[in-house]
Amino acid sequence: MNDAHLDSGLDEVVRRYLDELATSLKALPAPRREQLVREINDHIAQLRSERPPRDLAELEEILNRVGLPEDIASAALEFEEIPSLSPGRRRARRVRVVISASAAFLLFALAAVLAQVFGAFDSPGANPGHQVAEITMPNLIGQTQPAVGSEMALLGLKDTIRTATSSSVRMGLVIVTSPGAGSNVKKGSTISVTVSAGLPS
Amino acid sequence: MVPGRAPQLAQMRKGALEYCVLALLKDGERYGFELVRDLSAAELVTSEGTIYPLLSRLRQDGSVETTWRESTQGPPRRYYKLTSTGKASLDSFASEWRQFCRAVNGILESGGVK
Repeated sequence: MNDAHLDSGLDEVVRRYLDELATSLKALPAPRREQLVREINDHIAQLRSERPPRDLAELEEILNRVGLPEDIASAALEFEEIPSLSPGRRRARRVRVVISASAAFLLFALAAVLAQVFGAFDSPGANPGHQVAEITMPNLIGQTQPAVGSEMALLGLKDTIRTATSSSVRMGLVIVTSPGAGSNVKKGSTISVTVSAGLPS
Repeated sequence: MVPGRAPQLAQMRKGALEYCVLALLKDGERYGFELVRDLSAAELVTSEGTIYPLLSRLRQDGSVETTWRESTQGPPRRYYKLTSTGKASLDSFASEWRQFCRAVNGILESGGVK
């Protein structure tokens, strides 16, 4: 896995961590929530720039230092005088957060490696002779390319990226997918993802 | 890095934390990230992220005030400074805390106050 793939994989793990944090902070008024998420984001960025993580384990060390989203959320909610989660639920979530972040990263890394190594081959379905599962395409419009890559990997889909100029969608974000959101697709099939190359010249 | 097991100790650590933040600002303003690093290095907190809600509360209750400064690397940084209210509450905590520590230490070490 090269540096670009590693960095976008790590960015994705951080994005999920921050999403998790924002979800834990739902009870907080929106401006306070956004401010805290921004502060934590800056803190992680600062830690990452001081000693850039070379793999997922090193990034997890950083995130461990920053703390579990629920712990940060209970500290924030305590000051708001809103009851926080019970200890039992927190333990269960602790495990889930770690598992989902690691799983997302591994799938993403695997997809990146497979795409590079086996790019030329169209591998046959994983379960020949068995019924292939159908997946409903999520709405990926407006997401970043790495986010879409990991989402596809999670769903068991492949993607081919095309670019097109756009005056309404920012560079690097998805303009459209084919098949589109809501369509049923077979697991393992290839989705065409069109990413904005910015304004037409 | 292992925090005290006793829940009472966790409560005391939490209670003392905000005064430690104020004390770190005694000699002048500091960048938020540095404050968090210092508290973490002193093993007062295990989850660095939990300090940000505390900083936000200290801003709200007027113990600290903040200024945004441009940074040569990365986004603008928020600097924290002690206000006179913050200074007064730090001073009163510090004197009560010392008295409290003396009393507790006296009993822990000799089984009676000297």
